[in-house]
Amino acid sequence: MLLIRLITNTVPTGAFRGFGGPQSEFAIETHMSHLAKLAGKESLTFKKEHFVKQGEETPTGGKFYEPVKLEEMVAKADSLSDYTRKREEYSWQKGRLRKGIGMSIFLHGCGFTGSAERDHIKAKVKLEKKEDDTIEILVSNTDMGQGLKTTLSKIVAKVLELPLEKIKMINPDTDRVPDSGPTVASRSVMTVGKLLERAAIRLKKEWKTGEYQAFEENYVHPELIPWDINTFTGDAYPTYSWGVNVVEVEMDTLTATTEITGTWGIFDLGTAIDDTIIRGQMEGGMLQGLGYGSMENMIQVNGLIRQNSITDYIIPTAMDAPKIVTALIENPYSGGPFGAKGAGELTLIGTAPAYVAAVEHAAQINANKIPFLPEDLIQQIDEVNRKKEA
Amino acid sequence: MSDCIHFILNGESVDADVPGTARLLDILREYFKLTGVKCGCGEGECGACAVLINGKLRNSCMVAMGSLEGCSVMTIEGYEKTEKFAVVEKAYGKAGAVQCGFCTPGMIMATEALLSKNPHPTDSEIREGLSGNLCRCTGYNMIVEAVMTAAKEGAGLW
Amino acid sequence: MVNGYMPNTLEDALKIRRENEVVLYAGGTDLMVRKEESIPYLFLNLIPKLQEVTEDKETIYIGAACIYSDLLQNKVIPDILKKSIATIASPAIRNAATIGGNIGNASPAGDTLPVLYALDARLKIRTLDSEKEVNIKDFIIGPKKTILEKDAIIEQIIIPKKRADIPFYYQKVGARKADAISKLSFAGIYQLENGRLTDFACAFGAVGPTVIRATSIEQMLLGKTMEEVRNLIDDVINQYSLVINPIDDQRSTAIYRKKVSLNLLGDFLQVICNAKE
Repeated sequence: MLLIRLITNTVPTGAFRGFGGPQSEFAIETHMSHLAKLAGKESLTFKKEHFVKQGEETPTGGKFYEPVKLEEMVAKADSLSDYTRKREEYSWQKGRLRKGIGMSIFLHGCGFTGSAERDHIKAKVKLEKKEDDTIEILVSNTDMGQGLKTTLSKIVAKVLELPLEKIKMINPDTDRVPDSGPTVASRSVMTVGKLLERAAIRLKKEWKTGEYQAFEENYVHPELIPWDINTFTGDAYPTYSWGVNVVEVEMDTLTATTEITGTWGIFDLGTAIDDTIIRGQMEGGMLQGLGYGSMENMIQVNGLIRQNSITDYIIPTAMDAPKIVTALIENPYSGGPFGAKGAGELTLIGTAPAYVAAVEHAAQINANKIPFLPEDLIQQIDEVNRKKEA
Repeated sequence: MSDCIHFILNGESVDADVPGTARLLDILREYFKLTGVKCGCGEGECGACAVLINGKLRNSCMVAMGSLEGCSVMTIEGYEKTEKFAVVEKAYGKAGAVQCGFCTPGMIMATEALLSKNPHPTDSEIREGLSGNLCRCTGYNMIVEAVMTAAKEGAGLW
Repeated sequence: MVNGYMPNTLEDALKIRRENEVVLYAGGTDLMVRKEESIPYLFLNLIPKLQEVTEDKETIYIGAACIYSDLLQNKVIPDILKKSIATIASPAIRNAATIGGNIGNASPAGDTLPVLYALDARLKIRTLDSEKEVNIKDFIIGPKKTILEKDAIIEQIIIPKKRADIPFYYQKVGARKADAISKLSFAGIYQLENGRLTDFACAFGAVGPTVIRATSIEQMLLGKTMEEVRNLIDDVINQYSLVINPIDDQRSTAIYRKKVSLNLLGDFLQVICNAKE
């Protein structure tokens, strides 16, 4: 046996809403638009030639079982943002301020990756009907602001045809709740919510007024191409949520700073259990992505993080937040409660690559990093005097 | 003459037997057990510790107790009891302007500070009024809508 | 009070300062970040004299403990100074922070400083038994370093009206639209009379250990016509390029700071060339 010991002075890192997805999707989308340039094609035209379709294989040899609505989503994004026309119009600019517009097309897996849901998590939920015919949801999933108490309660209320006030879900106490798994991986509404939906359907069928009843549901793994952890092949996820984002910018060639003048997000999350909560996820995730792509610089020097305070790690303020326009595409998934899929992580993914694409468009350059800062942009802009006269 | 610092906290006259260099944020949370103020950064950047001092928005992590002699301090716990809060609370709830809630007490104090100075703010005036309150969850626009709604619904209160 | 002094007059404050080791607390917004709790604070926020703004025919006098949000509401305060103050931090900070604190803290990135340098501001420094005036450029001697003695307090900021009302150019460049420490900032003033530049000054912030102002380069432009100024632009930019040598830090890079500083200077000079009197 050979043992190799490595010493590193870099800081351990962890998941950032999307768990590797945001980083990869930025790279994929940006490579695709660079390839489009090399092929002499408009970015969207090139990407459309490579859209996946229902029934096709995933990169890990799994399958896209559900309808893929990218064409419809791109059309909607285009009509809301006027992307195609602006893409052409902004190619011919002079002067100090330059506009740009960029689009990103992306997906995110819903639920836990691979076979972990079946082999490790083995989620169990419990639904109790008290003697006074009020309902309590017993799950280990935690509402930390994403509205889980509301969404899970709405699912149960709708099945049982009861007013929301009759459904209770309190902060989980592991003495009382079964292990329905962690509140991660965009799984709470889709996976845990589905189990509650099933439990509620059984309760409705066997309802006995005035009596205490309890129903448990255990996770059942859908029939998929099994995930092989050794070869990393198979269905990584039971289904995917999809997004198309457009970001429009105005770049100041004097300072290499950009103003974000418009942001649009079209999402396929299956169905929305609660419109306000979904809007909060869409807008919050999109702004987080804009920060991620444009200002959240974090570098290590000799093993120390340089931006190690809230003063120096720059996130957007209310004054930096642009108007965000969103729209949902209905695409119900039978494995989710009332068709709902995962939403928590997807909404972060798209705005960083769309922002970079917009800046590339405005400055007529290729960018290769996020955040793409004014400090990165200034290196690639010619002396301002020359461009101004152009 | 006592060593206490005398000031008005949420309408009541109080004495704090604390050093002049102590941080108002810590005294509120630990001495007075008012935990609505949060320490988000300790650097005056995030606004999660915001209170009103003599009616003006201030970050309590930036306030030394010695500067408070004779001043009037209001925290979210005091503001909660007012009619204006009821309007703001309803507006925030309707707009979905609260997710994790960590920024919310400070954001609401900033809302009150803004509306008491400018009862009918524009979108950009609201954003400037809230510019010292960082939020990571909502993307801010739903909060801006909440403030717009509060301004409309609470006409006459501010 | 334990660990603090709260005088009501400047004389009392100066006496305490003479007799004790204290840290000055005006608005607290720089001091409290440092979390310095071992030395008592001398609170300056209850001294009326330090919060007055007065003027006479030639001069504006700003009390050192004047709070930014009050200065923004005061008609006497020059617009260029207001513009720089409005970009500082956030409403809650501007409700506490003071102009004297910005000067006393002497951060290389202090936002009022390039404006005060361009306006030729002076400071009135008081001790218990002395008073003197010193130009701001002689007061700040390095990053976070001033010549303020252990027993002294800044009483006033003195601004000659000569430059307070003439056309100006101010730009702050930060990482976001609020709560941003300057990556760089630029303040410029100019006056055109009978087709000639009769006054010109500019200062750069956050691109050196202290604010950068070069009166020898300014002399190159004084008295020139707009056409002559236009022909001197490249030369002037080159001259400033030699004296602006910023650093890389957590906020920005030397290359960015220098390029954008010179871009702003160039833009300012273009504005002058295209100005109508």
